[in-house]
Amino acid sequence: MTDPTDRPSSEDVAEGGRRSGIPISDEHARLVAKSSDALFDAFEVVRSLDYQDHEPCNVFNPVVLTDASDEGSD
Amino acid sequence: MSDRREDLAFASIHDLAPKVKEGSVSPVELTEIALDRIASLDSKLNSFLDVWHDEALAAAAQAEREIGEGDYKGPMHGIPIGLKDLVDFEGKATTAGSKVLQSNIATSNATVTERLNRAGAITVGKTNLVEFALGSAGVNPYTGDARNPWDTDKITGGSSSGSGAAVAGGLVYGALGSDTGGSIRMPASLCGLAGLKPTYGRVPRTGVLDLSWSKDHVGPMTRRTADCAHMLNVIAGHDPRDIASSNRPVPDYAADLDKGLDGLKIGVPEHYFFDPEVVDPEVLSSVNDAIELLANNGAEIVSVPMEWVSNGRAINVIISVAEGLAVHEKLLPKHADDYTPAVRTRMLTALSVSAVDYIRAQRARQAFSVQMAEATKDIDVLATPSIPVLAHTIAECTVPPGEALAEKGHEIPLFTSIFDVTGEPSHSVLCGFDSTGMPIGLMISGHAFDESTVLRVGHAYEEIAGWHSRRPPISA
Repeated sequence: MTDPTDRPSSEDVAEGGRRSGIPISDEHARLVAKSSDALFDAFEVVRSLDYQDHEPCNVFNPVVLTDASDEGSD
Repeated sequence: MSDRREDLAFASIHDLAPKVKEGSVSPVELTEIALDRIASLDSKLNSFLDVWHDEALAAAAQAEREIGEGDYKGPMHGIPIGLKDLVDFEGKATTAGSKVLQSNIATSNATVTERLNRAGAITVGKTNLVEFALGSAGVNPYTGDARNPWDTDKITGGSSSGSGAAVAGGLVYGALGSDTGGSIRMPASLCGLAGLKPTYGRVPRTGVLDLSWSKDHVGPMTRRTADCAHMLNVIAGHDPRDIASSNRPVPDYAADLDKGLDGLKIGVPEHYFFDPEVVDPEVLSSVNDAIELLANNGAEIVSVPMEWVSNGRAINVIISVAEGLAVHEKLLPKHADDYTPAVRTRMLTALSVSAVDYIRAQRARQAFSVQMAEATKDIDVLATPSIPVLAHTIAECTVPPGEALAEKGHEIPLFTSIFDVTGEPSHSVLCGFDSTGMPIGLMISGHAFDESTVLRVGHAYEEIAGWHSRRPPISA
């Protein structure tokens, strides 16, 4: 679990909305900030993972499908 | 409803198909039963958003004529089904359960719709869902919550909530769902159904609204595993309009159903899926009993260490919200107030996901998938609980206006989402009931493109265990 102070503030959320062209009221920005715990826990988990040894990732087709007959990826 | 009509309502597609073919059961009668049950029961279940009474009866009459003339198209011919309301049906609204799309009329059929139509299935309407499929509990304050036929105060699970309730309630014989974090298997588990998330790319998504491009799957929800096989036979196969669609040949998924368990190696994870700190004891008990039954009937049980496997959930969360907000980047600014508050809030959490966070998650996903393939290379399928908890009440999972997202329900997709990350086929079957009478699901997950073995194990288990003979207490 990350330090709660690492969570986004409502100002961070509102600023993110402005940058993305999505207007967010102050009240809703507060709710979004309060609802981000699971996401920030996920960031911490994924940042801790060791994946650098693998091939570069095709982010547009990231699913690695290895079938049981060893015919390789689809 | 007479015993014959009630029995027909809860029959399996697998058992009905030969009777429909030989003419002893009529597609018109099946469709009338479905429409009558919707009329009498759906005020309690809220499983359908739109019902096409006259069109369904006309399609059933046509199916009956075709079959009578010897033009039988296969096991789905003349069978009433529902479509999750993010699947296009030409001339009908595809709303995704949202006010935002209330006037979104489909101008063509989704590929899966077209294939089901060609197979002679009778689509009776569109089923309820979590708004834009973004949620696990199944609640939707805009359309009203779908209710679980086993206890209408309990959640159905989501996001294919209406498909789960409609099939479990005996309103239709099968329905399409979609699965990005478990949205086929969670309602299948909580409603006591068979629900298959096929391999990523096995079933095309053309004409199906997106939630998360790199993880969206479409698949069948039915009362029996054999029925999933029949529906998958119709909807699987390459479509060049879906960039992820596989061009591998489609086998007959019903061909191996009766091969039994002899010679199969069933893996049981040593970590996470059976952790008593994560899983309810009643779920553990039912799933362990199911695994023992599999072992006593020919399967070899193999313990599989996978101490890293919980990482899949974190990977799923980041990719889902980032891709979800990207899907809605144009709609959301224009219609922000038309989204339900909880879904809009969930989507907007993605404003904290940087490009690096997203790419990091996809790289971790690739490594995770390789890790899973390596860990499972010597087994045929994994057996686990579908979801770790018992069914919550709808009230527990409803977010009051102005409050942050509910804690209840966040644990429902912990296990299912793992296989949306790897893209491997994963199937939930009924494996018992808790002390309050609510269904519990066993999840059987296999190697990529080996749906046949997953379905074979599911079917063998159902035949041995016999849980499917119970019917929910809701009645006409």
